[in-house]
Amino acid sequence: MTEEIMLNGCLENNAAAQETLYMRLSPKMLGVCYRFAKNREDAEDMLQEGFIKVFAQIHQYRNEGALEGWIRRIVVHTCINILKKNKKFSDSVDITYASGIGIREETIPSIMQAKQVVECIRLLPVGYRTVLNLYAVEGYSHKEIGNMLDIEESTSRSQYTRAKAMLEDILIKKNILLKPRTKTAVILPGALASN
Amino acid sequence: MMDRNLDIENFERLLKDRSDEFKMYPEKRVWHSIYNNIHPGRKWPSVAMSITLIAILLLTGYLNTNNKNTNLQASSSIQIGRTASTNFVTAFYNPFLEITHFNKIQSVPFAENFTLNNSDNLISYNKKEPLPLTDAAGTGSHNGLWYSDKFSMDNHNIIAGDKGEKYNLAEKTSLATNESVAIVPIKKDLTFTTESNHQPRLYINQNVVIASTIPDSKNKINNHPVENSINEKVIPTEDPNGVENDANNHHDKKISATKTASLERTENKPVLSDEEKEWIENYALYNRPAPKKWAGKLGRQVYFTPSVVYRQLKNILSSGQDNINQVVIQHPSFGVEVGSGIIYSLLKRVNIKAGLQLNFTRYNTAAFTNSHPVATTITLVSPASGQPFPAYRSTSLSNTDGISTVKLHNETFQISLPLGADLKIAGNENLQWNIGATIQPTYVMGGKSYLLSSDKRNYIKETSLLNRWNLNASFETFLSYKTDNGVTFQFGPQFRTQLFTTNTKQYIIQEKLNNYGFKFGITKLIK
Repeated sequence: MTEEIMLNGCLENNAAAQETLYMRLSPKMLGVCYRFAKNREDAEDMLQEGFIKVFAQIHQYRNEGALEGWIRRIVVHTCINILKKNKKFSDSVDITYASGIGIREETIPSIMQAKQVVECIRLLPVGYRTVLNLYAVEGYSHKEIGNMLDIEESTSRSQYTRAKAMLEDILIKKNILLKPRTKTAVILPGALASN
Repeated sequence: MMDRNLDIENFERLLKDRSDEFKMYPEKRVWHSIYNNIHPGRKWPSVAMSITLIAILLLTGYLNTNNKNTNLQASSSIQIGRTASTNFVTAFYNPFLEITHFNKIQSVPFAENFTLNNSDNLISYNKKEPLPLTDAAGTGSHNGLWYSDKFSMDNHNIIAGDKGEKYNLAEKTSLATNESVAIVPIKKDLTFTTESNHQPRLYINQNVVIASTIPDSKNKINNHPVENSINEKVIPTEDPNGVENDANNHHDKKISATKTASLERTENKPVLSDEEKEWIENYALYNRPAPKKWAGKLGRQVYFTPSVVYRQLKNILSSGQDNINQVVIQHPSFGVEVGSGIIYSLLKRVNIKAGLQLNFTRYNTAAFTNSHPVATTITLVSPASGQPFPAYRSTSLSNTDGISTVKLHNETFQISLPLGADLKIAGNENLQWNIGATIQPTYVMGGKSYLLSSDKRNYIKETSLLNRWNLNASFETFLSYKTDNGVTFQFGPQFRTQLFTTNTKQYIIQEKLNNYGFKFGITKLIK
């Protein structure tokens, strides 16, 4: 089913087209939700709510830009709204504790890396990881993040700086990053190597 | 080596790249919930599906029970699961499946039911006609091997192979050279399906899989040694931990391509390369069984409920409650409840629970003692005629006067089996407000009961009339707090009421107990 047929089907509220769209994009979108959520169950709730919004608002999609990007924005905003509703921005985590948390390693190197990186991001306090996800991964500006999270732009910047530092610490403790001898950390060969 | 010198900026870029690569497969229920939400008029047919599944299970069980030893004789049973003397091997290189060997070929309609006994023999077959059976060992010319990546199914056909030929199993009575049907028993259930993206996949569903090949000159695989027989790899539906395995899929495709190529090889060449075998072994080694479905949903709870016990009295022969409560001086007293149970998180907001609990109830009666017993009666109702009659008793306990006052303890010791559910009203993951209710079949192990005499002037201690079996219901509302290590504390008020009278219906005064308590509970997740 081509994207055009699928999209038209979704506009006509066709269940098969909706399911195709869901099947095609849900794995990636669940990965997005998982980076924001506390656990898999929360991530699936976010995904569910996000896709309900997608299907409800699909007529607003103007074919300007990729459909996946449009859906991703809706999903990300849904995650943020759920986090805001639950007021989970005050969580904190101890680095020492975080470094002791085991990450199950996968057999395939690229997957292992992706999962390791995502799990390390998820060890950050929710406020830090939300800003880091939005800025570094989703590509939002600090101004946009400030609007989304109802915080000052400067707060977003400082949160991001701290989040990055904390993530570096975690990655170093996990032996994914080499401890920096000078100013920069060095990524261990193989830890983040592309395929 | 390039990666060795990556700095922080590159690290950020790679952070994004790696995060974007990360995928997880959601559980099916997520789509069902979305579907139900966007199509409110067309609820997911889970009830119909459940009923159908139950019906199929019952039918299968019935047929398997009734068809034993009727159609398939021991001499014609198919030996499956034996590693020795096999003509060929069909191996499912999936850690969830059995590697299966078989040495005979069987043609069976797909829709028929059969089962396997402990010796891996086909023992039940619900076909009325004699089972068509061709012994491959006798001719050595048949192979039962399924390796087509392209297939689909309808009621009785497996449509397999590049040509999309239909292979009607129901009509098949014998096998031609190079043509075969294999019955592959496995420990887990399987079914065929085709994904929306046309990726053939094998899903777990039935006890038996029937695999087939179509005669095709391109697909000759005769006379391969057992160890070199082609092996069909089952494409896993999902990583057990829900992580997308792109690399696995990559290997799948690679194997598929290699496999197609391997069919073109000469007959004596191994079908699987060492690299493929190594990957398969690694795949089987590292893919662990799926996590327990109830993990994280099941909890063990203990609780303790101090309570105050009140009673209600009613004369069943009187039009109203008249003066019973006015002629007695009775006070509530303390009771207690302790119990333990299992809680299962059925839905996001709903927990169901069951357990075992002990209850002690007590209320006090103010009375007088006398130095000598006096003759009195209690009014009982004849179970046969329904008519009241006086039963004579003697007692030294008076309701009106006496030498000294005494406090009579009306007590029961109960053991109950509470079954119920909790509903989350509000809250977040850690702190929640819930309401709950249970129904409690109860056995009264013992107690003390002081009955009022017919003239209401005396009390008679009488335990023989205690109603041994009773039913209680409890209602509660509570706050629960879940800690990070999976322990949940709960506390809140509870009301427990007795649905049937304390004494048997022979006694004309009905008594029902109401407990008002405050429950403290601790629940720990079972991992």
